[in-house]
Amino acid sequence: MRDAMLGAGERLIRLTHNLAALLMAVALGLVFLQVVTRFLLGDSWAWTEVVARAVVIWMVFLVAGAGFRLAAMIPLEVLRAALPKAADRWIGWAVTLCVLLFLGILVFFGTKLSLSVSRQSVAMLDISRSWLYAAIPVGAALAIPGVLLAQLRPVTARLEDGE
Amino acid sequence: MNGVLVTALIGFFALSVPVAVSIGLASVVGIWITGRPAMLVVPQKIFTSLDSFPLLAVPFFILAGQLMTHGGVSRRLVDFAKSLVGGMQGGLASTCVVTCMIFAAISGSSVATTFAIGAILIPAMRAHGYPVPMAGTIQAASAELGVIIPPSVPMIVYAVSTDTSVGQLFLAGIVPGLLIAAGLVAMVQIWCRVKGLGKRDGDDRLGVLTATARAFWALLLPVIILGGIYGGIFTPTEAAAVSAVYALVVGLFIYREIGWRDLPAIFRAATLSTGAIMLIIGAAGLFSFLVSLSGLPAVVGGWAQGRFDSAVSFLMFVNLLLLVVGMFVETSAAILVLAPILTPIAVGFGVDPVHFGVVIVVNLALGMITPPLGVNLFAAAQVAGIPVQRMFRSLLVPVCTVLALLLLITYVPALSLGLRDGF
Repeated sequence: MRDAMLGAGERLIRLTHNLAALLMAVALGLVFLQVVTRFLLGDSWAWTEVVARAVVIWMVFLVAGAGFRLAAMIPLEVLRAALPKAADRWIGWAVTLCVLLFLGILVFFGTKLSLSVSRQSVAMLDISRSWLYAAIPVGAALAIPGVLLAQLRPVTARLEDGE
Repeated sequence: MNGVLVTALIGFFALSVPVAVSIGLASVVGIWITGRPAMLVVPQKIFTSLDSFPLLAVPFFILAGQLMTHGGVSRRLVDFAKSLVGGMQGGLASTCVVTCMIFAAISGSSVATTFAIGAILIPAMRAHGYPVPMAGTIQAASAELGVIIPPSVPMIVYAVSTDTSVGQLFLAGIVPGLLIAAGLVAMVQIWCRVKGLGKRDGDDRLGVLTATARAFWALLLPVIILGGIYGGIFTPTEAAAVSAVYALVVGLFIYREIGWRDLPAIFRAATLSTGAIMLIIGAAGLFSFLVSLSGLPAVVGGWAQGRFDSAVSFLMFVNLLLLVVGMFVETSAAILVLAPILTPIAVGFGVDPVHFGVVIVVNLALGMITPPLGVNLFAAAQVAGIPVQRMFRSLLVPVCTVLALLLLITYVPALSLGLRDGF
C-alpha cells in the first residue's frame, strides 16, 4: 500500500517534470519565432511575448515538485552539518513541515487570488488572468508529493547547474 | 516588520530550509505577525516578480549552457585555450582560466561553467601532478567569470530589479571580466612557479590553427550573442533564445555529439535549475516588496547620507557588506533584496547605476568561492571528488587576488563604463 502510493507519487513528479521540460521547449520556440517573424515580416508578433511569459511561469511552478524531490532546491547546510545524526532526523522533518506549510499557503491564497481576477482578461489574448495565476496553486499542490518523497525516500543532492 | 523578517529569515536559513522557501516563509511570518498587508500579496508578488520579459533570458541561457556542455562545445574550447596558453609553466591552470573566460561569454552561470569545464580540466590537472584541492580551487575561482562576463544571469536580475538596461550592464561587464581573467592567469603562473608545478603542461596539445578550426562554431556564438545585442538586432532575451537554438543546431548537426534522444534529459536538467533559481527570484521579489513597504530603504538612505561623506566611503561599506552577505546568501536573492535599497543611495552619491551593478555582481561573485555557502566550491568539490573543506586552505590565494581586483573595479568606474561611454 505504502509502496504503491510512493510509486504513484514518483510517477506524478516525473509527469510534471516532463511537462515542464516540454513548456521550456514551447517557450524557446515562441521567443525564437518572435525573432524570426521580425526578420521575415519586419514586425514581430506581440502575442508571442505574452504567451512565452505565461508558459515560463507555468514551467517554474510545475517543476517545483521535481526540484524538491531531487534535492535541487539550494539549502544552507552549515549549521546542520555540524549537528549530531540524531538531531538531523528531527531537523529533516522540521524542514519538510516548513516547506509543506509554505506550499499550503501558496495553494490556499493562490487559489483565492486566481478566483479574484477571473473577470480580468490578459492583454492581447482575450483569456482570463486566472489562467496565469493558477500556475501558483496548481504547481504548489502538485509539488507536495515531491516534498514527501524527498523526506521518505531521499536521494543525494546534485548540484548540476544553478545560479 | 524588518526585525521580524530578518529574524525569521536567519532562523529558516539556519534550519537548512531551502533558500526560496526560507525567503517566502519569512515574508509570511512578517505579514502574519504585523497583520498587514493582506496575505493575498504572497502569491501576487511572487507572480509579478516572475512575470517579466527580461527575466525570460534566465531559462534560455541556462538551457544554452546545458546544450553546450553536452554538445561537445566545452571540450573544443578547452583544446582551443590550451593551444593558446598551454605551453607555459602552469599552462593547464592558465588554460582553465582562459576556457572559463570564453565559456563565460556563452553561459550566464558560474556553476554551469564549473561543471562544464571542471569535468575536463580538474582530472587533467590532477594527471599532471597538481594537488586536487588546488585544481578545484583554481577551477572554482575561474568559473566566477561566468557571471561577470556577459551574458550573466545575476546582471539580468540586477537590471530587472533596478530598472537598468541589461544591454548596458553586459557591456560594462566585459572589461572587468577580462581584467579578472588576466589577474587570475598571473596568479596561477606565479603560484605554479612557487610550487614548482605544471612544467610539462604543454604536452600533447593541438596547434593553434587546428584547435581554432575545431572550435570555430563554438567561438562564433559569443560573437552572435554580443553582436546581436549591441547591433540592435535583438534583445538580451531574444539573444538567449537564439543562443539556445544555435547550441541545439551545433550539437545535433555540426558536432553531432547529442542526438534527439538526449534532448529530454537536457531539457529536464535545464528546467530543474531554472525552477530552483526562479522560485528564489519570485520569493525574493515578495520579500523585497515587504522591506520597501516598511520604509526601510528611506531609513537606510538617510542613515547612509549621515554616515558616509563620499562615494568612496559608501562603496567601501558596500564592498564589506556584500562580502559578508555573499558568504551566506544566494547571489540572485542578495541582489533582489539589496539592490533596490543600495542603488538609489549609490546614485545619490554620484555613482552610475550601471557601474554599481558591476560592483555588486563582482562582489557577490567573490561570495561564490567564499565558505560556507560558496556554490562554485560545492560544484568544484563535487567534480573533483573531494570534501569541500579540503579546498579552504588553498582558497586564500584566489580570494585575495579577486578582492584586490574588486577594489580596482569599484574605484575606477572607467573600467566598467569606458566601453559604453566610448561609443
